[in-house]
Amino acid sequence: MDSIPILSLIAFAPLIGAAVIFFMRGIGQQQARAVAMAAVVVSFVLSVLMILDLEKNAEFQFQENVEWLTDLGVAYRMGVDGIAAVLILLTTLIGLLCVIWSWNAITYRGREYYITLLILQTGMLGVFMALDLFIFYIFWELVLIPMALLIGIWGSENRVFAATKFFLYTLVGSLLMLIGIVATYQQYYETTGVRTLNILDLQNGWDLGAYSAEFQGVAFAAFLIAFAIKIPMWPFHTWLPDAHVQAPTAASVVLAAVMLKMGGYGLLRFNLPLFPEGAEDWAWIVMALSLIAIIYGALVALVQPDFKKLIAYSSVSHMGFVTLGIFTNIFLVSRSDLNGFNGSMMVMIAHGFNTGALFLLVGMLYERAHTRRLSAFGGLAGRMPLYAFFLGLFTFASIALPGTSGFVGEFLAILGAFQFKKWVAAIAFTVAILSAWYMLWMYQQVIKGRPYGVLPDAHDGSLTPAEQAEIAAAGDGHGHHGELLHAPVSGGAHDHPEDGQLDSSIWPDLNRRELLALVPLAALTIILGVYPDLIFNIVEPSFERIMDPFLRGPLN
Amino acid sequence: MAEYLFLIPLLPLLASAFNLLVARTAFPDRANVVATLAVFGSFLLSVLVFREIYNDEHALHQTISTWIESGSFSTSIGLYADQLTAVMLLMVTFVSTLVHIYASGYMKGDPSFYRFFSWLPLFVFAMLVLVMADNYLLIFFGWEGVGLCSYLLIGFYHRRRSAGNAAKKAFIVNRIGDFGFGLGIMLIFTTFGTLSFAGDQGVFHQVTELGVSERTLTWIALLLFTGAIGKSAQFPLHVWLPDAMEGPTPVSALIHAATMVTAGIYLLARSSPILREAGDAMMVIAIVGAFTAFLGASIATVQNDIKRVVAYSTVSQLGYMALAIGVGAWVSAIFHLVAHAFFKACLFLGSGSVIHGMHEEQNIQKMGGLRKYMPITFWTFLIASLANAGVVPLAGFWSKDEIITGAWASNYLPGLGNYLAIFALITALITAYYMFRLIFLTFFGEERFDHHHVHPHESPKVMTLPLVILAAFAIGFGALGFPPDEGRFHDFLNPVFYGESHHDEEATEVAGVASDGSAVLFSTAAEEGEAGHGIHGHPTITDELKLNMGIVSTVVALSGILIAFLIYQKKRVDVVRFASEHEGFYNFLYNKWYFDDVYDRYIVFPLRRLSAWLWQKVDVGGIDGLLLWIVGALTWISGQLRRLQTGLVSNYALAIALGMVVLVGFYFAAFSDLFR
Repeated sequence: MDSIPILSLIAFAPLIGAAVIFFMRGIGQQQARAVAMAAVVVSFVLSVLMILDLEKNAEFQFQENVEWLTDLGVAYRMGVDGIAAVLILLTTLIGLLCVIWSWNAITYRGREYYITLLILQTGMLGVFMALDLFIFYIFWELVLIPMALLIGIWGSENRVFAATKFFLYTLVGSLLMLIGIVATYQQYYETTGVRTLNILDLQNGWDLGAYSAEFQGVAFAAFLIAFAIKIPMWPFHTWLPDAHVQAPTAASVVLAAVMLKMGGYGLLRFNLPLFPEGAEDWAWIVMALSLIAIIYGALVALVQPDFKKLIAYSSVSHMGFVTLGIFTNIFLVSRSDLNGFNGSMMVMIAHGFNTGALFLLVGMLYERAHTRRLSAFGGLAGRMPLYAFFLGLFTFASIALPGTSGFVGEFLAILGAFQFKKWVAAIAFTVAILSAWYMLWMYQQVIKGRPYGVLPDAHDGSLTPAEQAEIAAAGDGHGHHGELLHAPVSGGAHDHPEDGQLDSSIWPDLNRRELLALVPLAALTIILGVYPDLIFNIVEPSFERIMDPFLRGPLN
Repeated sequence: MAEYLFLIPLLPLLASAFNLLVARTAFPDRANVVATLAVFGSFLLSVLVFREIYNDEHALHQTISTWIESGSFSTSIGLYADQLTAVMLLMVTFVSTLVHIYASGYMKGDPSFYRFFSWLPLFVFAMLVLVMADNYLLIFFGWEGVGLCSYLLIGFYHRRRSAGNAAKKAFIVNRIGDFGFGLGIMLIFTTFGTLSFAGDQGVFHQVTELGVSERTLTWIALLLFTGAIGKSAQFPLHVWLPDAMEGPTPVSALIHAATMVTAGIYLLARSSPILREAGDAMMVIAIVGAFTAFLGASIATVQNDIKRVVAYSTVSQLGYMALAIGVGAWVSAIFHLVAHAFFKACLFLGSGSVIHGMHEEQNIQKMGGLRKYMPITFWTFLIASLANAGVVPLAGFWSKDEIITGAWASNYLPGLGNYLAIFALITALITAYYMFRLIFLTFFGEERFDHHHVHPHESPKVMTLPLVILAAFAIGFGALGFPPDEGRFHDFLNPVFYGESHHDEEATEVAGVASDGSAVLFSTAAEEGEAGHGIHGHPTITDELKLNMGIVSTVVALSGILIAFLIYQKKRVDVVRFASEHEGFYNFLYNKWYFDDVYDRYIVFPLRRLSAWLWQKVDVGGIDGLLLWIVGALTWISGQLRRLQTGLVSNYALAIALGMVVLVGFYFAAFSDLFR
């Protein structure tokens, strides 16, 4: 297997698919989606093979080195460790599920849609495997454009505004990171006399004394802001609700499940190994922002009238655990204290599954109802039991019920924080209450109660015996059913113009294609909740390596 | 037997999955058979486990797999069964089996029959994991699992909005307790380096080995108790339990009376080696427990919904159990837990039978004289009520009496134990009163229902059989606890709480009070040297005290029944007039001390206001507002700059000329001697 450039194949299989769709002029949407499916399947299968073949140590494996701009120290370098490998698998899986979801759902400009989706896929995969900062930056920026296009072309009513906001927000971060990259490159050159953008070499820079404490503080901040916008950390999060609400379902899924993880990955790959002292200086600020994000995201989610916005704000809350776990772990005292790191890794994966699935579920409902307004739903348990089941499952996975991957992640992240400072953990853990509050509030609005616009019926079990008695008393001989029957169904939603379309009795339950997209996520959520070692075995050596500089200090 | 432990929780889990996946479409009306058989199978296995432990007196332990291995943190999926677990196993599987049988009749014809029999065994699975777990994190798994099932089953009638609200409230309020429990687990890990409690490396062994400070242990105990406050519905988180009665009645009986709500008590009893060293925490537990007992009983006196009366009675009885834990009467707490499971399950199932026979009527003011229509329900209900009221010689008498005696003998602050005991006795008086208010209003007196619409009838055999069995246990179970504190039940459980040497005759006789103030009923601790710092000369539990207390509590219970009899049967007091004369007091009780209103007004509402403010003012107004301002400013500047690009060549020429002048001038000014 060594001879095959498996990483490049994984990353570029989607791009090849995109090229095929682009150059084969005659093909329509039917063929386009078939090509897209083939491309993501190849990518997925190869990434499974890759992770099975991965050795469980801290080395970067499957490395590919192709000299390119030798004078500048730029080369096409690819390689993965455990952290990257896991995220690559997550990416290819989500890509596959997105194509499955899009199969019949996309009718407008299908060819272009699949081309965009596939390029996006290549960009994200490249980010997780690049071992050269130049290559990394190219992939990082490559992600930006197709995502903006997906939002701007296939999005909802306010799509152009959202796409612009997303693009500018992330571009600001990218440019700061570019400055950081150039400065780091220059510092390394000035100390060692070697021009290189090889990440592994640059990571030795600290040991070689290339980065002074002051420099680390500034460069850390440049990288941090770029990643903070992607994660997104409070207060850089305001692009996320808009982008999510306007984006088409597949873009929302990719955005939540994979793109946000690029930020967490960046912190682990660049900020901590390159600038350990900077990390320690900035840790308190990052922790404070994480705590704010955790609580703030949960509180704001509590009052969202829009299904997608609720989940978007819950993402802000969940991703707070990623940064909290990472930045409390660096203060722990032993090489085997990895709860914060492991926790944030698991939160990233669990959030990928849960939020990905929740956005899929919102999308499936949107296809039927053409609205995302929570108050427009209700009583779906009767008509759509499968939908109710899966929404319930991912609701509780998102609440971090033990037995789901979310619990493992959040528990370990908080445990890491607890080992560092007990009160930090106590603040973060309040989200256990808040998340149950907003998620169950959402679930009740969508699934329980009476369907939208349906008046209560004394015989359908929607009323308690006392209420039935009240109606019976009021209704005797007067021909009307008392005030109870005319009360608004859920929160005075009657004044909405879409009333006519919201007849949930004609919405079909989940079909096979939709189940095919949801079942793998459900299975993985449970499997990783019961046996998380599948992930920890792979990532722990890398975390030990990241932890190393914080334990020993610089070598010289 | 140890290698088959895993089957006990596995059977109900398989039944649940089977019903959800297969029975749903294949034979939805027969889902009850699968579930009942699976739970009954667990019961049989539990009997085997019990037998083995009874004979060998050795705990069984089975490690199934690792669970979370993160660096130095490690937890396993392991099952553990000692005497305490064996008792819980028997109780849980036995009551579950009966409730499954009962529900087969009660839920008949429900369109979601299969769904009910998917969630009910799932609950049994989670509950069994909870009581069999060998480490705290796995307890937490079961703990949250039963919470999930409770949510699913309270909200079982999903079209009913009140049911949905009750389910949501139950889960969220429980989460407040779990918040504390979770932090407690973390503190246990950072203190002991492990979460598993059994064995030489376990937490309990290390409590004495490591010499952990009492301060830390107190924190751990209080955090664990926070979990128990939520799950076992103690003040101030008791508010979810009465609302949980929105679920189908079998659910109320199984989950919200017999099993799940006792999980908190189980957790505390399980953690006795930690609690024992945390005197202040024990005192808090005792006080909260005693107050909860009183609170629940006081509210139960004025409720008119038959299930709510029983529900508040459950809150009250859970308070007794917490009181027992708090005063160190461990075995008495478990004894009361099991006795309560029998008579309270009987009361709930009996209520269900009444409601069923009355065509879904729950208001006891609209009942009366039902004993001739439903004799079996009446007699079993009466027996369970007597047990709940603590009338000799029923199960509830022995267990409650032990708790009151234990409270009397405890001694955290001078006299506190006596106050606690008197408080508990007053509560016992109220308990007897409200139980027989319920009996008289429901089964005696004139028939206040509408004979045209309602035709009361006895329930089918499948429902009355469990009632009869439970009533039999409510009578007979007390015998295991006779003589008080020295019955067979105590002999069996003592090793869990007082070490292995309990067979020593002398040891069981010594009674003293340890320095933490908890009553040491069986001071084997004396041998281990702990009594070295015990304080002598404090009240001890003598046979005389037991006898006196027994007489007092019997008198109290009978007086309560007599008061109810005089008011509701003999009509010596006009209750309506009494209520209107003391309207404020009546409303205070009727509105449950206004807990819900206060929580809504001062916690829920302000939090929602804050959230809306954060969203509108900070997110949309603040951060986005700032960004839009920046964008606007940039646009404005660009707009101004754009004016320079007029497209007129002469303007450009002027600009070039001016630019030249400025540059040249600058050069001369800065770099030449021309103006020097």
